[in-house]
Amino acid sequence: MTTLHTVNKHSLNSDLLSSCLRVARAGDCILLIEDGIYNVRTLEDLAAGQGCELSGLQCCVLRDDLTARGLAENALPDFISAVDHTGFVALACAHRQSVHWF
Amino acid sequence: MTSNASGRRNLTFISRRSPYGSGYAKACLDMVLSAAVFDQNVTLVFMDEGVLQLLPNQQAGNIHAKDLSAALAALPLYDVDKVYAEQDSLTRRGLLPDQLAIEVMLCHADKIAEIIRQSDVVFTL
Repeated sequence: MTTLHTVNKHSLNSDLLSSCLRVARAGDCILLIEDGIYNVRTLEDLAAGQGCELSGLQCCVLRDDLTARGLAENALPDFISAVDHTGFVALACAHRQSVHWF
Repeated sequence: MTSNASGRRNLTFISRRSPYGSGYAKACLDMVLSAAVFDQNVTLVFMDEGVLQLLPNQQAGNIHAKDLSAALAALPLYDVDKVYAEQDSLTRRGLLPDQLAIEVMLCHADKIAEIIRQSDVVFTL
């Protein structure tokens, strides 16, 4: 019974990602969308800072939101993959719940 | 979805905004009460700024708003008895559990994760 979490703001401006990481559990997916994509560079440190184990989580970004903001897919950390809108739908279907952190 | 024959589903509402800075807190509470009226299995969780809704002695009339904490007091009348507040969110804001507007169950992130997993639908507002 896993969950898809979407996060749409930067952790420097909000506590969304931090709250999401608190309740995300192994098998869950965190999908960064909209301004949430800016978290790609800080996600690992933020998780480590609050003792969250990222290895059991799937981490994704929405490709269009990433490239629209001038960030390159090939510059993503290894543990983050980009998905398109179809991929977003697939993730929503693959998990029992969706929790939108906004 | 694991709804049973009666159409009763596990609906979880995570209320994480302050009461009067936006319409989210009121919207969340309205949704909770509506879901309860339709006999859904409702769980309400206050976390982050949402715990500020639990402050006693709100005088919302002073800002021409409807008192949310008064509506919170109606939760038991709607048979909403699974009401949680995240301990860490309270602590970070200097709130003491025994000084809240309503009685809530204190919980940690692990419990919230478990609640989410047992839900059919989760709303965060």
